Formats: sequence, C-alpha cells, structure tokens
Amino acid sequence: MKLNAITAAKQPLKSNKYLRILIPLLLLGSIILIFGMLKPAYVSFGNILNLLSEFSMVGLVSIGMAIVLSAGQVDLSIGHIAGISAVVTSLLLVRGVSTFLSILLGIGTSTVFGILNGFLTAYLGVSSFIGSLGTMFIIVGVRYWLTGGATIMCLPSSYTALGKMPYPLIFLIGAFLLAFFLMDTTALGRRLYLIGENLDASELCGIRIRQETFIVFIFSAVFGAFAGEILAARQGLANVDIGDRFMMEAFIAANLGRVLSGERLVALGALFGSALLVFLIGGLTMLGVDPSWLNFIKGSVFLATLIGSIITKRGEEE
Amino acid sequence: MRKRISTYSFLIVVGFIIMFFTFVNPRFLTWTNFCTIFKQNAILSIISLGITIVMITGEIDFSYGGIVGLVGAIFAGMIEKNYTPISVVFLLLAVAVGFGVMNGFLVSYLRLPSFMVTVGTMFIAMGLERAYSSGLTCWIKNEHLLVIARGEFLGFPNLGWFSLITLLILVWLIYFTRPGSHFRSIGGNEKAAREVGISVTFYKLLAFMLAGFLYGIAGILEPLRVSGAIAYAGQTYLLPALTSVFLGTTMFYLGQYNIPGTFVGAFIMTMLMNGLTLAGLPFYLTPLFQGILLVIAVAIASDRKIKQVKF
Amino acid sequence: MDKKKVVLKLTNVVKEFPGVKALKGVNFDLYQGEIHALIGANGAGKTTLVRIITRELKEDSGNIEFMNINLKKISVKEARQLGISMVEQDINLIPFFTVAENVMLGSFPTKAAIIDRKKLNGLAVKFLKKTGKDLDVKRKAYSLSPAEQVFVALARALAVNPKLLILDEPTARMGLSDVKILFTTLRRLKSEGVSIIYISHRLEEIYEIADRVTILRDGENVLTSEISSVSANEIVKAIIGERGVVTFIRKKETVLKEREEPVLVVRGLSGYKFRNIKLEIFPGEVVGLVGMVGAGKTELVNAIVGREKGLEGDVILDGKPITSPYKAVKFGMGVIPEKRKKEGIVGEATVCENISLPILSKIIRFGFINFLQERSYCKKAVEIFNIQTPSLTQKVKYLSGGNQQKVIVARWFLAGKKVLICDEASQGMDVGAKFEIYEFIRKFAKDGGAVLYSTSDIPEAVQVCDRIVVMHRGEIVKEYESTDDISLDEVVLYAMTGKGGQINAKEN
Repeated sequence: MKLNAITAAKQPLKSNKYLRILIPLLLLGSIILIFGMLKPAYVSFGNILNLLSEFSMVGLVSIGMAIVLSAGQVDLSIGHIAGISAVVTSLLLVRGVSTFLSILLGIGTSTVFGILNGFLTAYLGVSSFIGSLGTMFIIVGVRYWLTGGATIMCLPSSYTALGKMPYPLIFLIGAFLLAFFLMDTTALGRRLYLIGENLDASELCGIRIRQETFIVFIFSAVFGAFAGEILAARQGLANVDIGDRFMMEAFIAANLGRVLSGERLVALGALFGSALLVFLIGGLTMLGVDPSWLNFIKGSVFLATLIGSIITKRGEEE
Repeated sequence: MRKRISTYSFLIVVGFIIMFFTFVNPRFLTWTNFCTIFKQNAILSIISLGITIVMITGEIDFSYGGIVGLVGAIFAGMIEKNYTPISVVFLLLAVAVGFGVMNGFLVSYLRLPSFMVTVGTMFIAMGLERAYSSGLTCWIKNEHLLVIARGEFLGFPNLGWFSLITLLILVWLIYFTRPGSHFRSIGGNEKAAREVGISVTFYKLLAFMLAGFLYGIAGILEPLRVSGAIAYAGQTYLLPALTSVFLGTTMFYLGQYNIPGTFVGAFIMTMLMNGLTLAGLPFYLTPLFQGILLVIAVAIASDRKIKQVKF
Repeated sequence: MDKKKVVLKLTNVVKEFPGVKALKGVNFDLYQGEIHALIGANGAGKTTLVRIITRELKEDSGNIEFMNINLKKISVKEARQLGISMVEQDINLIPFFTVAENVMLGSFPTKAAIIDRKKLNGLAVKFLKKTGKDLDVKRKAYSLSPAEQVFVALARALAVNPKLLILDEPTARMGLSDVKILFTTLRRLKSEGVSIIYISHRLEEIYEIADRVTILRDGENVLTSEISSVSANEIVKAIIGERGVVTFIRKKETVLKEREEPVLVVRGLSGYKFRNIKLEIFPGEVVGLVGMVGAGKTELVNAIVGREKGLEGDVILDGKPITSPYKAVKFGMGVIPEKRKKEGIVGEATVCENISLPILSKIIRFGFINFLQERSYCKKAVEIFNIQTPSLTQKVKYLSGGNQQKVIVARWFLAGKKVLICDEASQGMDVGAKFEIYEFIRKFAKDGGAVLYSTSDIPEAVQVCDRIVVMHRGEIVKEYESTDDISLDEVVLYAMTGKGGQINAKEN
C-alpha cells in the first residue's frame, strides 16, 4: 500500500526526538484553545480541575496499559481490576476499617488478579488476550458476590478527600515518575522493551522471558487499582461496575501515545495520549455532544491510532 | 495422546457440571428447560458460528458488535413503519453481507490486519445505529412476527431450530464441501494453500461475507426474541461470542477453531447461566464460572510457550 | 536410445533480489525422461532457479520454455496444470489434515456437493502408491515423520500427473531405506516419461540416480555433464571454485598448549535430528562444525544452547549443566544464531542496546542503567568491529545485513563469555567484513575463549578453525585435529557422503 504523501509527512515525526514531545503538546494546546474559544467555561478553573482529575485517572490506567503493551502483551481486564480495588476498599470503609488499611487491601485484591493474569500468560502460555478476558469475567462475578449488586455509598471523608485535587494529580505524577524511571532508566525496563520487540532474541541473550513477562501484569494491576480508588473517592460511592470504561480509554490513550511519542518513552506517551483523549472528550461533552456519540468518537480516535501506527511502520520500511 | 485426554477430560468436566445442576434442581434436565436453553442460546450461537468461519481462515472478526445492533435497530424501525417484512429482511441481509464485503476487501485485497479492520467496522456500524435510532429502544408490536421467535415447531422452539439448522448447514459447508476444505486449508497453512493454487484472497472474502450474513440473521432475530431493538444490542454479545469460539478450540478439533466446538461452547456458556439460575444461585456466578471455565479450558489446550499480542 | 527431446529450456535467466544477484544468466536444459541433478553450495541459486520454473518467482529477464510454451505469463496454478510440479525443501502440509487430504489438497473429489471421502482416500492411496511408500492415508499430517512428510508432498505433486517433477533436497530428512524407495519410484517415473530435476547435496545419491548433473556456483551454470563422465573430485572443485586470490590464512601458531579441562562438553546428546553427539571443546580453540543442509547442525546448536527440552544426554559448560538459554548465557555462553532477523537482532532497538543486551547487569547501579558507561562500552565495540552506523542510537533494523551481523558478534565479544557458539556467523557479509569476523573469532580464542563455529561454508571452516567436526545425517562422521593436514576436497566429500573415499560412477 503506497501512501507516499502521508509517509513523507510522518517522516519528521519519527526521526526527530523533540517532535515527539512537541507535537502532542501542540495538539493539546490546540484542543484547549479551540474548545476554550467555543465555550469559555471550558477554561474555567473548576472545569480545568475536573479535567485534570479525569486525566489523572485515565493517565494511571494508560500508563499501566502502556507498560503491558511494550512487553508485547495486553491486559483487557485493567478496567475491571481498577474497579474491584475500589469495591473492596469501599466495602471495608463502610465497615469501619481504617482508610489506609482499606486502600491497602483493595490494591492487594487487584494485585491478586494481576498475578492471575501474569501466571496465565507467562507460565501457562495462555494468550494474554484470552487470559485477561477470562479474568474480566471472573472479576464481574466476584464483585457481584461481594456487593450483591448494590452501590456502596457514603464513603468517609477521609477517603473522599483523596479524590480532591491535588491528590489525584499527585498520584498520577508519582506513577508517571515511577513508570518513567522504571521503563526508561532501569535494566528491568530495558528488558521489557526488548522482550516486546523480539522475544526470541531476548531469550537467547539470557533474559528470563517468563519472569519478566509476568511482572508487567502486576504493574497494570497496581496502577489500575489506584485509578479505581481515585474514581471511587471522587464519586463518594462505588457502583458495581465502576471502572469498566477504563479499559477502552487506557487502550486508546496508550496506543495514541505510542503513535505520537514512539514505542519507547512509554510513560510519556501514555500521559500525552490520555491528556489528549480526556481534554477532547471533555470539550465535546461541554459542547453538549450526545454521550452515545462519544463512544463513536472514542472508537474513531482508536482507529486513527491504529491507522497511524500502520502508516508509520510501513513508512519506515520504505 | 495428550490431545485426546484433554478433549475428553473437558467433556467429562461438562458432564459433571450437568450432573451437579441436575442434582441441585431436577428441573434442569427436563425437556422444557432444554428448550429454554436453546432459546436463550440461539442468537449467541449464530453469531459465534459466524465468527468461527472467519477464524477458521486465520483472521479475526469483531464487527458483529456493531452489525447485530444496527440490523436489529433498522429492522424494528422499519417493521413498525409497516414495510413488508420480507423486503426488510432481504435489505438488511444485504447490508450485513455488505459489511462483510468491506471487511473482506480490506483484509484480503489490501492486506490490512483483520483486528483493526473489523473493530473499525464495528464502530462504523455502531455509529450508524446511533444515528438511526438515537439510542432509543424500538419496540415491536407485530405479533405475527414475534411468533417467529416465540413459536415452536414440532415441539421445539423456533429459535432452537434456527440455531440447529445453522449448525448443520455450516458443518456441511465447512467439513463436507470442497470450498469448506479450502477455508480450512487456508487457516491450516496458508502457504500450502497457495502452493496448490487455492485463491486465498477469494476465500477470505467469502468467509467475511458469510459471517456478515449470519450476523444479519442474528440481528433480525434478536429484536424478535426480546420484542424490541435495544440500543447497541450487539455489544452484549461482544465478549460471550468470542469466549464461545475460544472454548470451541478445546473440543472436537483441539487447538483449532471449529464449528461444532463453537456451538457446544456457546451452549455451555448458556447452560451455565441457565443452571445457575435454576439452582437459585445468584446470577453473578454466571460470569464468574464462565471466566473460570474459559481460563481452565484454554490453559489445558495450550502449549506452555509464551505468546505475544501484536497490533 | 537417442531420446534427446528437450522439454525445458532456460536461456540466460537473470534474477536479482535487493542486494543480491541470485541468478546471473543461467542456461539450462532438460531432456524428456531424464533425471537431472542440480548441485551447488548454499546460496548458489538452486532453489531460486526451480522456484522460477514453477512460477512462484518471476525472472527478471531471460527465456523459459516448457514443452514449447513460453512460461513468461504463466501463473503458479497454470504451471501446475501444465504439469510442472515440485516437492519443496520446506514441506508445507496442513498439520491437522489427514494424509489423504494433504495429497488431494485443493481438489477434493465431490459427489453431489459433498466431499466424497471414499474417493478422496482412494485417490490418495493411488497417488501414495505411486510414491512407493506405504502410509495410512487416514493419519493426521502432524503425526508424520519428516521422511513421511516428503512422501506425502511427493504424492501431492504426483496428483497432477506431472510431466516435470522437481525435488528440492528430498532426502535431507530420510533414512537409507526411504531413499531406496524414493529412487525406485523416480526410476519408474522416468520410464513413464516424466522429466525430473533433482536437487541434492549428496554425491553418492546423485551418482546412483542421476543421468546428468548441472553445477551452479554464484548464480551461474559452471558445469553440465553426463554423470558418467565426471568424477566426484571434479564436481567438488566445480562447486567450490577458486576461492579468490585473497584467502584467510590461519596462522598455525596454535594451540598445543597444555590441554586443560574442556570448557564445553556435549555427551551422548540425542534429539530429533541428531544422535549420540559427543563433543569436547577446550579453551583457546576454534572448533568448526560443518555439514550440508539437513545434516542436523542447526538442531544441534539449538540443543547446545538450551532451547530444546527433554533431550537425551548432557551439555555441560564449565561443569554446570545447561538446560535453558538463560542458564547458557549465565554460565558463560554466547550465541550467534542463524536466523539473524528473527533471533539475532532486536530490530527496533538501537545499536547500543543490542550490543549491551547481555551485560546489562554489569552496567547498572542500584538497578539504574549507567548510560555513560553503556555508551562508552558500545562506542568501543563499534570501533573495534568497524560497524557502519550513523550513530549509536540508530535502530539496528536500518543497518545493512553485514553490519547487523557485526552487532551480534560485538555483543558477545566484550561480554566476557567463555564459549561462543556461532551458527553461520559470516552470512550475508562481504569478503572484507567476513575477514574481520574471522579475526575476531581467532582473537577470542587466543584470549582464552572457546568457539564452536558451525557453517555450511566448508572452505571457510578449514581456514578459520583449528579442529573440524563433520556432521552427516545427524552423526559426527569425521573429526580433524588441529595438527592434521586438512584436504578441502576430503572434508567436502565427508560432508556430502559421510565417507571420504572415491565415489564410483554408477554402472549403467
């Protein structure tokens, strides 16, 4: 498929490191500018805070998803994992357990599911697509069992305080720094990238592919868990299917990040991807676009990222 | 040898499940219940079988998530506006096949990855559905038509007949005809198929078209089953259909996507739900057990090598 | 009988691939009812040539006539219908189809829109019988041994009633009894008027079965002759040719130091394609592993590196058993794999990252990569190995094949490994680059390392290695010590026949 004009246009994107940061920032700026002009309330302090909170959550799951993707796997259950953490935490909170312990146990529960995903993929040879699909189902069952379908309300203020800025953003920045340092400065991150890029060659160079593949699912689970906690804290309640939507958004944002910022710099790319997604959707919502159209738009963005990644790949080959 | 053990062990597990459910509620193993399962299962079956055809040729198809809903919405809408049912059906089947043609063209001729193409088609179909129905449910009041889904023939529900007939036709097509052998050859070793002169592009296109046709049928039957077209009806089948297909690889033709396996897989999924309901067990156990079943089945059928997912 | 009707005529056929001129104007003709052997070293152009005949590849220029029909515009399917059929080197069967289904692939017989299984099986039996091999046609293809696969592929080729049959290394995976069966079949086909092109490395077979032989070297036809008028030595010389004026002279200032303990020991290793392999490699020596395609070299290398599970026998490195690639590397082994793109380089990663891959643990501080240290390490490696790259951060996939290979060599060279396993290490490189590699291999050994150098380029092995181990059909048939006088021709003969003596031309 010869897409010469487009591939030519994409060349500078790949070969210039600064463009990887510049272009996403420009896009973000344009989005904010355009929506701000169309609806001044968009750039109001309150709205920006809202968007930043949303950005924090989506950013967290996107970073988690991006880490998994860079190792050549996928975690479809990340949304559900985020949710189960919130559910467990909320259940404990309303029974009077301390905030700290509740959150800890919630994240712990998510980690268990991360371990399940990791075990299935790395040690049993189940394709992560199918494995995480199964985990999704299992979580759906577990959370209904735990909550009976009821929404858990009236979460204590010691918890909901964590949903108010600047905490979500702090968590995001913390996660970003952790992910950035992990993936781009440590040997572990380097090994994960290499496994994702060529599994066989990595194995022949002495990398333990099973152990390393296992680890990525722990990361996505923990990052997801934090996102779930923030969401529940912000809402003040935990509905049964809380967090489900995160999977789609994480996937879209992570892929968007990969196209814009390259397949390394995974944390940064995920950050950009989620920012763009959140601010775009936020703006459209503010303009009164029908929610059901939003799904369609998200899907189109996703498609655009897939097309984008194919174009850049084929462009490199020519 | 190991393969045979795993195939049968899985069926044995299924046998135990049936015994367990019957023990808990003897009504499980009655004819009436059997019919109910078939009624609940029909749409899922048909969709899953459509996906299977595509997967047999080595590609993947997500577009049912949108096509089923789109077809259903338009069907309900046009019926309520008193268009003649027959022409509506023909129109919609053509539309569904048209989506299949689009999928097939992009994958077969332009060599685009099927994952991406069919997800795209799904979104397009969903968008079109949204545009048509504005997200509202359209109820069908035409008793005449509803009977098609509700009624029985020779003591067995119509929906059950539909799924069984689909199964039989597909089994004949895929396993007993020459074109069917071509599908399987392409999926088995595309290079070998090319070596003997099988037109891979043509047959992949055909596979997508057939799948589209089946999604169309499912799309028409669904609103008849529940007396109305609910928004994004296709989405509820998104995961269960795939799961049924994956489950199918653990039976009959181990490791391969296959028609009877998918049918039984879908049946097991529905049976689990049905059995749990009859046992008075809470409904949320259904996804739980379906998930566990999927995971165990696939783990048994898999070799231990790490697989990667690439987009 | 003076049956010299030409059924296939190639005139001046040229085929180029990016960077490689595979066929440089080949002339070739085939008589009706003859078995014509096609020989040449790896990369000489044999497979390319036959794939052009079957129309899987299209020639860049030149004329091809089959039965007076010009093949220029003919497709693969049409070629098959015309009667051109091939049994490829890499057999492609449908694993979960039965033998019968594979034989009749694409043309299952039907009766009233249903596949006629009885007829299917019957036809398959008929065509399988024509191959002389008896197999249960209801067996699944995945249960077939490699030799049985060849017969099934042959039956499939015979199912179109071919007039021209091409066989590419059919006996590479066969035992002697199967070879007998195959030859009986080929003779029968010959008597029925079928013309056969037979590609093989095995001289003894060619002398037994062929009428004429053509030798390709570097994309050209250098010799065509009646088999009875050419000796084995002449054939070998034609295959190897003059090795060019510049040759790598191994300085025989070797390795007669005190034999220490061997650093790598392979004991009684048996696997899928090799039996009872016993090897000992001492520090400071380069051991060459030579053999033809199908001899089992690559499978043996894979096993030594730890990629095969459940094998008989042991691989011991420095006293420690190797059971996985991770252990192999950990205990001091480096591998230069044969499939560069698939298993060698990480294409998306940079030159520097590829080079530092095995030593990551040595350039970290508290888990963080010391980028400065890494950079200087890689810079050194790039300089030493003269790797052509615009920068250290260039993605390896953009490098030329030869430079990619250098990256892989560089990766291990400075990694402080005790043993280096090379599988076709000089593939895809020009002469200058090859010599650089040879020098580094020798230096590695001189500094105390041990090298197992597997190659199908026998002259190269003779020049570079101290000892030579020859494999033939999965067994080690000859070992040359470093003090032996190594005759190139003899080594080639061992590799091609398993024996060193003279081959007698077949009695007619």
